[in-house]
Amino acid sequence: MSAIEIRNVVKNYPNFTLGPISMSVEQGEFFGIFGPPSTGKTSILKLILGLLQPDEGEVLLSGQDSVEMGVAERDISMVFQNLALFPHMNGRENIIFPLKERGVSEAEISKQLDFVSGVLHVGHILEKNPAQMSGGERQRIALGRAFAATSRAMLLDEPIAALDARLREEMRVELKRLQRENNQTFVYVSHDEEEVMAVSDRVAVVADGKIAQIGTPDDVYSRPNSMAVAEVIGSPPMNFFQGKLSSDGKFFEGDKIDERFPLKGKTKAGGTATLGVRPEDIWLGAKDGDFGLDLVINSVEPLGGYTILNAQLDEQIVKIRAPGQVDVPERSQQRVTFDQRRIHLFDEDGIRV
Amino acid sequence: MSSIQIRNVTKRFGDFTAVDDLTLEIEEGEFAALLGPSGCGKTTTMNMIAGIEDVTEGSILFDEQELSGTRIQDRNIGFVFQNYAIFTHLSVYKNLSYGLEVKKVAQGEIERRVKAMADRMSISHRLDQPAASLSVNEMQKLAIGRSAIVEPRIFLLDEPLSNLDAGFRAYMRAELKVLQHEFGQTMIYVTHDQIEAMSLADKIAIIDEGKLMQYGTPLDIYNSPDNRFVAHFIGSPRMNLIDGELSQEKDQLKLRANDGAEIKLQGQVKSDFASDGKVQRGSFGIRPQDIYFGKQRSDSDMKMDGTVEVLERVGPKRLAYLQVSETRFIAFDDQDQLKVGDTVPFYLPSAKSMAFDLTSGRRLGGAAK
Repeated sequence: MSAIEIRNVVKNYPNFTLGPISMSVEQGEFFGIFGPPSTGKTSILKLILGLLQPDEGEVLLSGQDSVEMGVAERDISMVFQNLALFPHMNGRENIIFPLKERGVSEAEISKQLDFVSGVLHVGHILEKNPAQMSGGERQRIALGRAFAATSRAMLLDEPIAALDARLREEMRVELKRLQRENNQTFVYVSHDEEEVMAVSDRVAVVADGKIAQIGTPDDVYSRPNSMAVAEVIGSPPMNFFQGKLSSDGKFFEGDKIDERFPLKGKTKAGGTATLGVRPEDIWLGAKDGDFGLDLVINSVEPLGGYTILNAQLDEQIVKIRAPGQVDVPERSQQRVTFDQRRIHLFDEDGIRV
Repeated sequence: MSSIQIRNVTKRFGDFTAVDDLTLEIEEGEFAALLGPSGCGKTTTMNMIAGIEDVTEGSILFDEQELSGTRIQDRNIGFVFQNYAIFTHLSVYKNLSYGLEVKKVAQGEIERRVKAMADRMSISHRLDQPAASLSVNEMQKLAIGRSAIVEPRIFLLDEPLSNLDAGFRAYMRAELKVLQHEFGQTMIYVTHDQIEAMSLADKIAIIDEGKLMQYGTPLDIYNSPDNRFVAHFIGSPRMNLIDGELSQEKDQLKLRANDGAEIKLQGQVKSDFASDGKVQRGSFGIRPQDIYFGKQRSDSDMKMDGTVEVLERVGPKRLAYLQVSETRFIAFDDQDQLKVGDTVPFYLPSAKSMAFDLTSGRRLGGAAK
């Protein structure tokens, strides 16, 4: 029995329809929902929380239809991007407030406070008032307050988006640890692909009000089921080449590529298609028997741990991610090789072949 | 196109020192980034170059000429801000031509340059439309085009990409770099995003609390940070920095981390730590991609045993958070074999490790090389 199950839910808005959506979140799972802004991610959370009622379909909590359940009855907590603190209470009082309300024992409160403040690194600001804290500190206290009380599931809507980059990197690990150690169920919404992929056990990729794919981060990254998913997962994004499949289905013929790209295994014959290759699956240099191209390198972005090369193919910029620090002169022509095992092929409807 | 000299510049607002004795030399045609956390003084520095703020002490020169008497409008500076400052009620064409009209450039010439710039920015099809109808991404292109068209002596960009979505940001980054090459303009780029600075700039000035922490090419800064601040700030995922006490037991120099782990120092990094005998509190630095698993590759590589606490997928790779006592190391799962809860040996290669004095933050030994 899933902690949360959404079955064929549709929610109509004046200019937008969410759904039909089906997904289930298991007890103890860290479930990510990823998609560009305004694609319906937050609405999914509101449907689970009970702030919105579906027009069609149902939301089940631990197997029970939730339609008659009020928000409080659902025992689900929600963390927003901008969390409000009680301004007259210090950090400690803010964190333990919900526990006191529930009549939790002093011993238990102090145990939870220690745990949460350790994980969130807020020990040093427990005695400060919100007005004396930085934005990041306030957000961590607010997270602490949300995590101090346990519930059936916790819904998090971009909870760390407002923090600076370094702190975000640290906080996402802490969130993951907190979830694991408390064996809590998390539904985590973010438009930051790296963040959502890093923390989630499974990810739902939302596009245009529908769920395009649900899978582990590995699945979604390595086997995107459609162009819609391939376009939004991975940074820099996947390179796409327009073209068609040969009549025997053995080759991809790029519109702007002279050579034919050999396809291994069974594919559809004929028809327009798109070939997708991730920047890290294009190698510098020639390799016998593998498909390659000659490209002019426009610019080089040395990032230390790896290097991004921007190459020109007709009007298109092809991004290549080379490991380590490579010394390639700008404007030089380079032979590059595509990793045959890691190419993606999409048909005329953008569905993975 | 001009070179810029910033000499011993200090800026104080009352008791607060925003910029503290900053000296920087930006060559003609160079793309320099001012990088630092929010509140570090980078925008104040840019504002002083622009003439929006006066310097409290020191001087700023363009082509070796003192600027203090020159009015902002006579400095011939192009600006691009995070909030584009577009005339939304005017057409795209008018937005582009405005600066040239103010300068009384001939009509034919204006038309030619507007068309060329619109082509360059791929907004030609939008020329007759009101700027208000543009998408956020097109808006930012227009903002850059509008400043570039007047061919300013220097170009100042203040976090120009931070409003854009991730995919377009990566695209714009590449585009900006090509533009800068084509125009050959001196550009100063203010950002808090180290990836943006690394990928765009010829040189990066890292600023913290108003002070210059290091100035150099992206790879110089990445490969040999002068101090602990720069080491921590540059690189993603961030460098492991293990802070602790140094102790000598017979021949063995050790770093005992504040949170538990003990590193028995070997090889180059050991001599780096030992190079200043007075240092007692040290910080041991190693980048995640330099940590490895499996077989030990060199006698001087330091072996640790860690428990895999969390695994994260980051782009094409998996990041492992390894717990040694209460100390955490971040490494790439280079063999793709780790599982959460496993206790595994891993190695810190001495030649890739860095030593810092924890008290002053200064790099020990290696920085001199």
